Amino acid sequence: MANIEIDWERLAGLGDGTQAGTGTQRELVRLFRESCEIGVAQIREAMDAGDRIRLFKSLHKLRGGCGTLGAVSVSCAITELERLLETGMDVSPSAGLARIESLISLTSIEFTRKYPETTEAA
Amino acid sequence: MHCLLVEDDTLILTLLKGFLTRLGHEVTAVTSGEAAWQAFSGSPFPAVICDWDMPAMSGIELCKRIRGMKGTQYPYFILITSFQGDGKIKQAMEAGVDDFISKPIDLNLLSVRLQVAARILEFQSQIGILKDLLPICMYCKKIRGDKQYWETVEAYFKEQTGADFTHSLCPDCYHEKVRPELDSIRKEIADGKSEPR
Repeated sequence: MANIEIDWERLAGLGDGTQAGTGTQRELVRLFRESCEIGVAQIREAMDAGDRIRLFKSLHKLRGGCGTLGAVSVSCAITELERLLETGMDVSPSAGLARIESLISLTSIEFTRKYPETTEAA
Repeated sequence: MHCLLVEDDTLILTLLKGFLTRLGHEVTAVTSGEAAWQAFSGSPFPAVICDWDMPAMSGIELCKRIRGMKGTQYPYFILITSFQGDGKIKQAMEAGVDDFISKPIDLNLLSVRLQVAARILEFQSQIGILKDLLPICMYCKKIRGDKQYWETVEAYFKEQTGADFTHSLCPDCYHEKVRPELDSIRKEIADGKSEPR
């Protein structure tokens, strides 16, 4: 399995330290999955349409959400793709997106392991 | 503080709404610039926390519209952004943005920024009061402040500006009030009605 980096401290800090706080994190983890699904769909749409501006905006958006929740590996992969696209290098955005999707899945598994109730909520 | 939170990403929206509520703020959360504009037009908010990049109406566009509204109290506008670079910041500042918070969002930093917002809005409110007409009692010269009770001029200005007063005498009052009083005391002493102190 790939080495997934997650900033657990950041994710823990998003709650208030109480039982309800843990519930907050479970809710956020559930929303992480939903938000990533929407984000990836938007990126794919922009790629299919060849809309570079929309592609960058969608990547920005997804990176912001992932970074805020401590999904470091996903966030870094998005940054990397953004940089490659910015430099105009001959890269395949779809290969980059596939990597991002894979990292999202792995991060989601780790999140679910830490906050198991999210499986039921999903 | 009643905050208008504008973010089209439900993940960030939920996170921020929960955090702001825990800090004790009242939060109205919406997912688009248009919804935010409708909410603000209906009843202005003292603080707006808004994402920059949203479809249809961006955070910058919303800020411009809000700043263009006449006759409303100045709201503190914080823009959430994952953009970097001086050009973007300049564009936002010119649109009337007061402060920025970048993604990934640091909640502690947001909390501090909101404390600054509250302080600035308080100063603004004080300036607004000082600019307005102050009701003052024509006899005792007490002032009715924004808390609707009468207080001395000293107490009022100390509360509003933090200034301390040092009591002194103006020449007019010396001649009209103090001097006659001193003369009267001197006369009583001379007449033997009072002992020198």
